[in-house]
Amino acid sequence: MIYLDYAATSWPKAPEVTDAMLAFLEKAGGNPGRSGHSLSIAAGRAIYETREALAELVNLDDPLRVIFTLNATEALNLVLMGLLKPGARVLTSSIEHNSVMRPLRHLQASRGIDVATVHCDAQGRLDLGDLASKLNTPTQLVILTHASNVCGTILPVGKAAAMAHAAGALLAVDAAQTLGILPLDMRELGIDLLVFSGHKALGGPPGVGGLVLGDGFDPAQLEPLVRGGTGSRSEHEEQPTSLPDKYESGTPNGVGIAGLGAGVRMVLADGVAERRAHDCALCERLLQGIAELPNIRVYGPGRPDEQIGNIALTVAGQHVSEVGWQLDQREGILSRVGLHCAPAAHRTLGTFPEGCVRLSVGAATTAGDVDAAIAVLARISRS
Amino acid sequence: MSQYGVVLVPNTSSALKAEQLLRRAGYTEQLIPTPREFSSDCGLAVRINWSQRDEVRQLLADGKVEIVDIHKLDRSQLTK
Ligand SMILES: Cc1ncc(COP(=O)(O)O)c(C=O)c1O
Repeated sequence: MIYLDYAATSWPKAPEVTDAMLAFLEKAGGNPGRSGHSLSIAAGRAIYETREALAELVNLDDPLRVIFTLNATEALNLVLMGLLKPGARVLTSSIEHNSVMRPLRHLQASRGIDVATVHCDAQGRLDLGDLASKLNTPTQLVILTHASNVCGTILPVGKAAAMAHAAGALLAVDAAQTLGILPLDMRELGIDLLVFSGHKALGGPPGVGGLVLGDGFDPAQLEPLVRGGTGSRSEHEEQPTSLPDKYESGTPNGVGIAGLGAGVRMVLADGVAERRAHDCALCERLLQGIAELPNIRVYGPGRPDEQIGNIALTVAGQHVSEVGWQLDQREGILSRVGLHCAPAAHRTLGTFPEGCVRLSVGAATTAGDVDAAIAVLARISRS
Repeated sequence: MSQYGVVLVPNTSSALKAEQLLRRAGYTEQLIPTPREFSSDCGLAVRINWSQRDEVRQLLADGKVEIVDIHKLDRSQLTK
């Protein structure tokens, strides 16, 4: 079996990750923050260490600004539901995932927010001129994916942050696809709110994601999505305002957070640049191999330096699910076909409603895996 | 013989952060359940040497840990 579906989730998980999860269950089984006994403190420490590792990864001093959620989707809902005031204007790109678009469409209907879409070209590249002109109208928030989950195109979030700030808007970045494989220095880039997914490039298990609040972001602007017990200020019936408890009610997924911590520490040990170089080399090999084949069209920049290792393609005259099925049946190559929860992106690329085949590489992918995929695509494309 | 102080913080994550900061700076600290007589937001507190309370206050302020209060522990409250 050849796993080329890293954009959906990373697999296999490293033994370090499963070991950390087992250790949490066996040695740190208490409820973090609820009791003062040693098992509760051990659980709290394991979770705190994951906050520290993530803060280091995004170059932030304060680990308490790392908020854990169920997944990136919940963190994106927290940002959008918690921040946007009735009637506010928000800008987003034309290649967003539905975890951004669906909450926005809901808020458009329920709070009358004004959603404007900044144009991306047919390779998914953001039109900064269009962003500049749309920022001429007062805007509360710009929210952008850091890279397309479909065709991999990287968006210039640093430039967008500077432009948003100059216009008095905040910048939120959906880094579900990129944290762990692209350098993400929140201070240097000027990101106010960063959403991540624990189970993708960070190598953690499903069931953890989160939000990182930038140094200069005032949490008073952001309402929690969920309220409840935190173990702190228990004599009060009002939600605490201290971080991270304001946004973390109820027993957290300690097992998952401990596993994620191991994944993030492995990224830190390897270095993001190393992980990126690995993916770039495979991406280039795949793009070059496919370029030689007839009848295959690749979407996105087609250049490793402008994209992450997600490659979107179609084969002329063949249905995408047929191509996906052939990849799986002939060589056990696991891809993802269809719309990838991102209809907007497919409209931008011109692949709506049929969608495309997405091959995505990651930490454990080898050159041999990529060559096997090219060989099967060669047979499919000539059949 | 040394006397202890107890640093009250708003939540467990802050207590764990204080623990890390103090440990890395070479201070002797211990996380303890907050003594009942100190009303606190959090069930966990950080025990320090009372004589170091001013340095600790500074270190935690620099590290952006919110301090609710620092109290002196009398001998009957000594844990361990
Ligand atoms: C760009 C993007 N945003 C958000 C998500 C949602 O991530 P999660 O599965 O952690 O909710 C995904 C993953 O499918 C994604 O690719």
